[in-house]
Amino acid sequence: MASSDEEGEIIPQCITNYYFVNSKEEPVPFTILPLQWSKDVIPEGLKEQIYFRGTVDNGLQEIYKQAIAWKFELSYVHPEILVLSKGKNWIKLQRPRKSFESIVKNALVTVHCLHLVKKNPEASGESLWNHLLKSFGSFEVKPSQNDLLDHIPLIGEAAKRDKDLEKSKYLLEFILEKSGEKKVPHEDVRTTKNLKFVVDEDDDEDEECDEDANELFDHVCTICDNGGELLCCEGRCMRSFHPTVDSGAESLCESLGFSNTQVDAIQTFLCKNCQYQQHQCFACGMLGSSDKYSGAEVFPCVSATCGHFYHPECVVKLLHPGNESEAEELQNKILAGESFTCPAHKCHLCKQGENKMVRELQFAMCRRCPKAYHRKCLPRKIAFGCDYYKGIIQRAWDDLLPNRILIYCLKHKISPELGTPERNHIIFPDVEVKMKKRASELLSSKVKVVEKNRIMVSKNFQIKKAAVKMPKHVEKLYSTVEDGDSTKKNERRYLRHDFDSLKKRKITDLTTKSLNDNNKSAAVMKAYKSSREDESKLLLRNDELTSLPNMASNPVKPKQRWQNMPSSKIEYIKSAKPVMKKGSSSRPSVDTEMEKRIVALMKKCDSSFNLEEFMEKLKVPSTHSYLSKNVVDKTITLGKVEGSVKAVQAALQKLEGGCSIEDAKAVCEPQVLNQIIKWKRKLSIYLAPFLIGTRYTSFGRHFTKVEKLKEIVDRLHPYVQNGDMIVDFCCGSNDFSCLMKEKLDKMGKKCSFKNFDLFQAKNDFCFEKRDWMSVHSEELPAGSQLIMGLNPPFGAEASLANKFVDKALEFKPKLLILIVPEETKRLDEKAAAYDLIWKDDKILSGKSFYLPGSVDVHDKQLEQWNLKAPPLYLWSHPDWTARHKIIAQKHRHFSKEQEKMYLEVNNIETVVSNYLMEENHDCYADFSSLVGAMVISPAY
Amino acid sequence: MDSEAQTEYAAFEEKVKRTVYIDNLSPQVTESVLRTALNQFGSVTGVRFIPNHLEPGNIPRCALVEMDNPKQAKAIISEMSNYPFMMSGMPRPARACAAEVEMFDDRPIKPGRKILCRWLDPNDPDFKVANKLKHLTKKHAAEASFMLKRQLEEEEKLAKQQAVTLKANYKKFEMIESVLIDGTARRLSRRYEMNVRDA
Repeated sequence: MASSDEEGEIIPQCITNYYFVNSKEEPVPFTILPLQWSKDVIPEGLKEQIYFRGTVDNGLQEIYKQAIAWKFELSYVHPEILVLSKGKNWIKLQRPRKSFESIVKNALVTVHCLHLVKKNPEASGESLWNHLLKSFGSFEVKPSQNDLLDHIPLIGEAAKRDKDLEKSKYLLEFILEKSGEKKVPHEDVRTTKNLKFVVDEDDDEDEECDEDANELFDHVCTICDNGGELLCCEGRCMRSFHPTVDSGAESLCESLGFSNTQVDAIQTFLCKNCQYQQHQCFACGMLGSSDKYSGAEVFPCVSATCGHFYHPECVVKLLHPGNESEAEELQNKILAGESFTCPAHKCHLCKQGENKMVRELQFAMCRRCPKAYHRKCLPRKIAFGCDYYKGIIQRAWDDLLPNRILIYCLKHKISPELGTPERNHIIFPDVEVKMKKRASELLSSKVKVVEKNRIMVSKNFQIKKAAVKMPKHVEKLYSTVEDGDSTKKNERRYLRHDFDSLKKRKITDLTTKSLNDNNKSAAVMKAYKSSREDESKLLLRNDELTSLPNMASNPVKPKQRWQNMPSSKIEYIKSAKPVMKKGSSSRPSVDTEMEKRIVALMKKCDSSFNLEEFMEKLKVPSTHSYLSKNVVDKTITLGKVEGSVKAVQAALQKLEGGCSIEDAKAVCEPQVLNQIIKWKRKLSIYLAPFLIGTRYTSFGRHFTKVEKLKEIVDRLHPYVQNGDMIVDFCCGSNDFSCLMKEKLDKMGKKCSFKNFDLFQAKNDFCFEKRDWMSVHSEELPAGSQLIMGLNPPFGAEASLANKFVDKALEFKPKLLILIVPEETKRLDEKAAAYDLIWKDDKILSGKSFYLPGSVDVHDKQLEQWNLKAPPLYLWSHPDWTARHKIIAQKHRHFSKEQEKMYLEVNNIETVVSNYLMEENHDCYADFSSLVGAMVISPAY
Repeated sequence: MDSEAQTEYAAFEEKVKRTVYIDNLSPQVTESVLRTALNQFGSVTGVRFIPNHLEPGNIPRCALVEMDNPKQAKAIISEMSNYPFMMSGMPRPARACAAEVEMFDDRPIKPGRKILCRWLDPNDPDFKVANKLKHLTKKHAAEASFMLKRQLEEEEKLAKQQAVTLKANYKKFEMIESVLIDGTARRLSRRYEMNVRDA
């Protein structure tokens, strides 16, 4: 990368949220710039000046620069597009600004397509587009061949210059077909190595929220070091695991071995290590107690994102090799409770810290021992690729850890079958032996079939596990029971799952045998019950069986009882019998038969209920769908929060104790601070309903009071012309339109009205129960007749308000009247800028709003005031601004400042807002998110 | 006389159509809470809680809410089945369905219907039938009460689960708050020379 001559400024290497504009500030695609094909040839400049804007440095900095050329690079794992700034620096483009997506989509699709083709010249058109569809999944408009059409010359030129591209059947066909040129030059397409597709699915295109949520903490399975669907441990270890065999099938991960139903039932998952406070020392691998209160043997590294534990003696050896006195001193300090950072936060080679912002200074972390290297210091033997002929095995992966490299250092022997070192590194307390055994077992079973296909493998694996490892599952389950969770449910689920799975697999002798066993046991059980015939016999028996433990008033020594189950039916039934008796004798008055019937019915009902289907049926307004991302997901674990908070404290302590910034950053990287604030925001949204209290009744809307609406009507009516349509896009009680009509009728103006809301309005005058986001522009008259607006939901940081306003702008109304918070993006900063006629930040101060459907302690309608009153804005389409300004002046609608400004024809605005509340009542400021939080809270 | 009864009954049937049956209400919900809650979708003209004579204690309640017109009643039902509608906060969303004639204990006699009460002798052939009905009713009541108990148990479990999650999240919230409030985070960010936007 080129270095800068401007002093001290770090040259941004990547830019996100970018967009390009010409000198008139109109957005233009970067393809308008000259394209640089080869390194040294700088293409001639463009007459027009093109600028680009965006954020660099992970959102910390905004840049605005002139662009002079662009190029793309196809030889890496992901396609890269770079833009040359005027200072002759190449800057990588990452994610375009959402609004810019539509403009650059065809260019991005073209480059991605070329990249895919280059990587796999054999690919058919179909598979290619499947990949592109995935990559551009977050875009509003799906990619299509039409995107390529705009860039035929580019594709042609690229094909000429690149041999791989030239070979692609698809591309050739495409160019031939679309441009009707000459015939295919050579048909013998040489078979190139069958490269596996490695496409970034949502790297650049990812939504912001996800991106930063996962930025700091790794999201790979602790067992197999692969990503995918993971379960995060809530504890201090901060690890994640593949919960089910299926989820880890790709990497042959033995996983935690839960079933899907079990995973769904888990509220907060605590790994065995955290549960028993027995953690492994990351240096020596031995288990030790980490319980601070009863003599800990292992201590956690204080670094915010590091979840490793160490024996003091192990870690000091690593930290101070060959210096016993220092080591001993530190050891004593650690034993006394002082914090330490483990060796994994300093480069093994140069002993310097990490800087995630600078690519070369990013860390490569060994997953098996506390060793880390800078990217630049990484030994060459730790290779990113593998080459069988040269005997090089892949030891480093670039995209698994956020801004880090995942490696296995040279100490660990890579197992060629697994592609990772042997997976015996995790020791859970109590089950150590089993874990190891299982790993080897798994390996042997796999090796045999590995060439055939992978699905077979996992099947085999599942069967084995289901049959052999049952007791362990049970044990696990019962240990979770202590948490006071739904014991019985778990039990039931577990049983049903296993029976189901058994039913399915009649392949091996092993399973058929156990199936028979279970069948028999079920049949014996039947004798205790009314013999009922049902077409799904097995399932029913399961139900009956499972109802047994439910009846037990006290599940006596469940471990023993269940352990016997798969092997011997007799014992099982023996133990079940007394339980039965107990159940009936403890409640003699109630007809047990009836109880069983009802329980069975309830079960049946339970199992027929499909949560996903139900969720789908529930209409979630489009504006709220995004909230699923805002939910306090299971990735904000207690361990992470605790670790981060401690790290923040420790880092400051270190700094104040005279430590270097570098050392402090090893403890707590700056991003951690941003992260905890983001967490807090998410948590507070989730917690809002509970923080607010109980006299709160649903939907979280806030309506403008009628008196205020009257004032607004008085203000607005002079701007309305005969034949206009007034649209209230979030009408609430629908008072505004009624008042408006009343007023306009009085003034002799004839207008039409249209009112939308998600919820039934009290007054159904011209009301349509519709999601505003679903209204199409054809449904309303031309913009010249439209006056829209009023009080949309605000959302967190005005996100919803912005959405509503953006939607309204699609109709190009001549006037927009808005009650939106200050944070809302101003309409004069939008692509199609509107002019501000006036803004009043006083009219809605004080108790201007009320909460429909909620009463206060005295059963009065709950009123609401905002800590900071949202202003009332009147925005005008530029075509009408002059007219509207005249009206505004005539009716003295300008505030004093505005008047002055208007007279001076000056656009600098000073906002004077002095309204201070006597009390803090801002807890209601975010209703929409409350609704969101409720909709997705675990109850539903 | 007959026509009078008929018009009365017709008026009653109209009223039934205007009325919404709200179920699963938290015991904390009072008439005024209910009234304001539903007033946002129309005008409530009357609220009546249905007393439960069978089960004691703290159980979900139900009420009949009369609206201005049948359209509003329908709107409320669709609104409440489309979105979970919470009254008085956690933990249970209320349910709504159309009211039925039998829900009103003050309903007028259906014209043309006569009810006669008499004692039955054990030897009467009808005695057996009546006894059967009596037992059936008792059985139904027992079943209903058992089921209610089960349901309450499940709800309790759910509530506990929610409480646990809530508590855990609140703990996290407090933890973060602690470093934000005492200024640790702010001081550290100043040391790092970075801009941290306080949320």
